[in-house]
Amino acid sequence: MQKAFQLFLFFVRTDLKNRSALAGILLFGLCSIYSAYLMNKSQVDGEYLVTFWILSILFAGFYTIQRDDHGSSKSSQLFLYTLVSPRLYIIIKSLYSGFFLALINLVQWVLMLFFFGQDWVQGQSPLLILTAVIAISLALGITLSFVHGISLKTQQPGGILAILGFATLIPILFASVLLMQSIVLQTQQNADWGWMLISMMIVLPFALSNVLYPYLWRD
Amino acid sequence: MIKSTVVKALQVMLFMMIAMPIMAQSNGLENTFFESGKIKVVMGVAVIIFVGIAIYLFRLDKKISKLEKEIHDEKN
Amino acid sequence: MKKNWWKILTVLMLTYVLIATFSVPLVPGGLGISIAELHRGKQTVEFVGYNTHFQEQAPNLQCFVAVGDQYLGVDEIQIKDNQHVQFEIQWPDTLPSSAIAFYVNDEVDGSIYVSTALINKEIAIISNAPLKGAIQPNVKTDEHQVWGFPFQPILFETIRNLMLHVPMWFTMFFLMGIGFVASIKAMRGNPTSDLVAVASVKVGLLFCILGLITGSLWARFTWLTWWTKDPQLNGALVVFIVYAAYILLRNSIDDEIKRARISAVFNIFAFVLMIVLLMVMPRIADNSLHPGKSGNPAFSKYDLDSSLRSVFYPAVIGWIMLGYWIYRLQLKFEKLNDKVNRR
Repeated sequence: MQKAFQLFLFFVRTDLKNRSALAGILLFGLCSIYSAYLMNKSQVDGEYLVTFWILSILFAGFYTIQRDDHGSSKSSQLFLYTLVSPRLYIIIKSLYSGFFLALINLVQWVLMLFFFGQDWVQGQSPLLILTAVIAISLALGITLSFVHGISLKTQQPGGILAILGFATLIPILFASVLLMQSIVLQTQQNADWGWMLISMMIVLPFALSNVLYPYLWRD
Repeated sequence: MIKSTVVKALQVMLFMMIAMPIMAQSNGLENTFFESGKIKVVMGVAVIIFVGIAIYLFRLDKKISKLEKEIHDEKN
Repeated sequence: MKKNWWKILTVLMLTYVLIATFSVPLVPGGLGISIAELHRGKQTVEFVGYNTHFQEQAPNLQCFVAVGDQYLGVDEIQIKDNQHVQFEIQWPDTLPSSAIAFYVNDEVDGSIYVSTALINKEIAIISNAPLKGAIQPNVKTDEHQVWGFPFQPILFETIRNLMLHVPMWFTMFFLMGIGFVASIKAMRGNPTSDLVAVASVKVGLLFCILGLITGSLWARFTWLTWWTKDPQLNGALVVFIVYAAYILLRNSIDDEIKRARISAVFNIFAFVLMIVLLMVMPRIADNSLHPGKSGNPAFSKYDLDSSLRSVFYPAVIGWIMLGYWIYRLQLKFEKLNDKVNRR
């Protein structure tokens, strides 16, 4: 437990040291939402906005996951080897990136509300939306961490991350659109179905990465 | 070689995507598929499967014989 | 010869399956009717049958119309040929239901019917009221004296695709299963298992592509669209993309031991994703068009009757064996390729 906390602190510290990356991600969110605002000023279509938000968090996810490169260089890998076991590393890393993403996505959500007003949001409770944002971010963070771990072992990490990420994120994006549409716009009747899908997309990659990640670690 | 298989597969998919709207426009061709209890759909499906498997096997056979020749030549 | 018994069996089975698929007739059924709207008073209707024997059964032929669960007689039956019969209906002023089906009844074909959604602007519907001039005909659906594949509305002859399109997916599952087991072995350090995994995934991808294309063609002429939002269909496309990514991932690592381990890890992930996408999601989704999913009638019970089963099960086994055969060839290629690259 103490090791987990130590690792968590290590992540936070590297993030704080690397403030330009953090600012880059936030600026990216601001830029994309502001450009959408400039293009779609006259009429506000909720369905498009939700889809757009999902797309912007997808890119934010890729940015976030590529920001850190623990384990890519030999020295940092050696440092992590001495600190923790691979299983603990992937657990902490996927949870940390999930909640980090949740923070970024919430900022983007607030920016959306700021630029487009609140008229298109038909959902009742902000708490429900908050939970949905955290769930979606967790699903994205867990899967992306695992896929990032795979891609770091290849010759072209960037390209492979894009290919593997594209393939494995489609179900998550589908579930996210369904969930957000059902609770924000209430166009879909089946919010339960969206919740079930997204929780499946959290539990399954989490379990799989726990089982499989130690095999990636060996070198 | 492996890459070319994937590229070929993507090419086939792309061809289907381009060809489908063209086929959809020509109503005459489409109507023949609906004739006599849609039996031509079954024939089309069978042709797609056999042509697909035949092309795959043909290419595989060519690749295997090339490699076998290579190994044989090196032994002599 | 003794070693290749299963190849001979494969050829025999697939020959039987193909001959049966294309030669077994459909049982008689109603293809369509000539009207699209209901009109007050007298209306002439032409009934088109499929594989029917109207001319031969002329003395026994009866025609009637079902309105809800009551029946109405018709007049002036004119048999044109074995497939076409024309009759006149005198509609009453009110009908008890808007569910209308046209029946033709004879000894050989049994009771065959066409039920279509007719546009009705002129005749009032009073629910469950007794029908004026109702008759009590002898309805015997599915009592035809002809052996063959079942006649399904909309599907018609394309029910034969059950023996072509569906086994593609069974074969893909089988091959990806081989790849999954091989990947578990490869992850534990078995050197040849990586080649087994990649060979089976490549052949599995071939069957996946064939399944997608044939499914798209079938969908065009039954669901009237090349592509829909059906979860099974889109899940299959995602599975294709995931496994294509596996091949690309494997190509991008040069070190052999590393490649075997990392691609094995991704292959296990891909297999679990496939199970979720193709076996779990379509069953709980509520908008599937595929039979057997989300409350749609499956090809089970009486749909998959003895005639279909006697061809469908050999078809599945035969196609899986053919897939295994192609996989063996692919594995031979991978091993040769490995041998050449090692030098």
